[in-house]
Amino acid sequence: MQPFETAVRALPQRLRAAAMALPESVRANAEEVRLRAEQPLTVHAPSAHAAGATVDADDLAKTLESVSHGSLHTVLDVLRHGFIPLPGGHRLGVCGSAAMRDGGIAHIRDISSLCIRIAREKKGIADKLLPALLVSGRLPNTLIISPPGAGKTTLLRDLVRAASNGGSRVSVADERGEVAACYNGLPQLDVGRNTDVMTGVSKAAAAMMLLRGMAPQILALDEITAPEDAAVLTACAGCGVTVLSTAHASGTEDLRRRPVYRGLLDVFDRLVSITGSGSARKYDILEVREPCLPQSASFVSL
Amino acid sequence: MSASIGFLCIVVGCGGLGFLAFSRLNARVRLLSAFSMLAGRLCCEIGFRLTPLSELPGRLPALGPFWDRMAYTPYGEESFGEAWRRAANALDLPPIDRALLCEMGEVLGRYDAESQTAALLALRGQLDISLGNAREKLKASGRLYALAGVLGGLMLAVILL
Repeated sequence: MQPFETAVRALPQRLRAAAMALPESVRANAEEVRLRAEQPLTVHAPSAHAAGATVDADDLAKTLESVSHGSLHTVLDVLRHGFIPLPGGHRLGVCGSAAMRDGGIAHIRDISSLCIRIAREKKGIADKLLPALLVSGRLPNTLIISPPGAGKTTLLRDLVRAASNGGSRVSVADERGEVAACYNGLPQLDVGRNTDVMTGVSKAAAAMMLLRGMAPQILALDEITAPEDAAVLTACAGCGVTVLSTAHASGTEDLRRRPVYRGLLDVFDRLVSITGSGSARKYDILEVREPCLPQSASFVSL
Repeated sequence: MSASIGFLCIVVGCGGLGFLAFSRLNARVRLLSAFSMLAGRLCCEIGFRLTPLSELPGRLPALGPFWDRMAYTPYGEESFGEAWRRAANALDLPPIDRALLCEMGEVLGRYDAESQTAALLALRGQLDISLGNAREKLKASGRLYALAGVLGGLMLAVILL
């Protein structure tokens, strides 16, 4: 089944048929499927293509019912983050009126629009980068930085996959399911043969659980945003584990200016900066400091 | 000879009607008892395990043909609530019991686990009241219906023949 086909499976029959009636070239390059109340179903590939069906409020409710298997209680926690993971690694973004309770989002009701983001893996992007990152055959602590949407998570996933398939024990603290996109316990995106994924729990808590329970050689965390994430990274790096992570930043100076990241510059040995637009990407490896590799762990040799 | 066969047919027919009424009362007790137990198990499954409703038929006790009649599929056109209502309305139960079961379908899968658990416990309480009434009715009238059927058949046969 093609990614587009698995992604639109959650739609009501009428909309699914309209989406599948779009030309093959659109379906093959589709990045998003947008549903907005009283607007035509639109597929972005990457330019917008209207399918021959108008979305109504009932379609939005039925789609949500469908992706939750009629069980809202199973997706409420992730829905509070604004999206629901779908089979195949796709994601359903949800927009509507938030119902608040105790200062937090209890539920999103009166759904006004939905966005299915179609997942596509880009395997092999780490293959060229990894040899350049290795120091004495070992992977140093590495932070991937770029502005949003440049492909940090994609690169992290590919590094994890390559390191894992190379024989290292890799653990991923995948709080929002963006790296492995686990569904019913199975990673929907390839993260390698020797990878353990903890999902649905905060990065900081997951990292400590993985460290205690799975004895990783490499620990990967996506998107460091909070001080507790930075603190747990520092703690893990001090335990002899190689840490791989990502952060929104344009360069080293940008990191130094922000209090959350400033301390991390003492943790990471290498920065990988991603630049570029469209489908072209440039990966620059920046040395933060002389790598201080743990003696006890053995790493990938690719 | 034909009179004897006619006599027998009337007695058996009326007796059968009596037994049918008895078995319906019995079936009501069994069904309400099963749904009351189900409500308890649902509280555990939803409240603790956050089990998706589509997995319930495989995890919970058989409810006669109820789960088969629901035939819920996650990507189908019918929602879980609609499928549940359709199956509940097809049960051979008095309208008051069917309304309770339909109400259960309205709750399942629509709210967070705590809200569903609270609603299910309240519904289980109402189901237990209905179950108590059904048991009393079965005790008081069940055998009477069967006996009345046979005796009524005998009387009718005597009068007619």
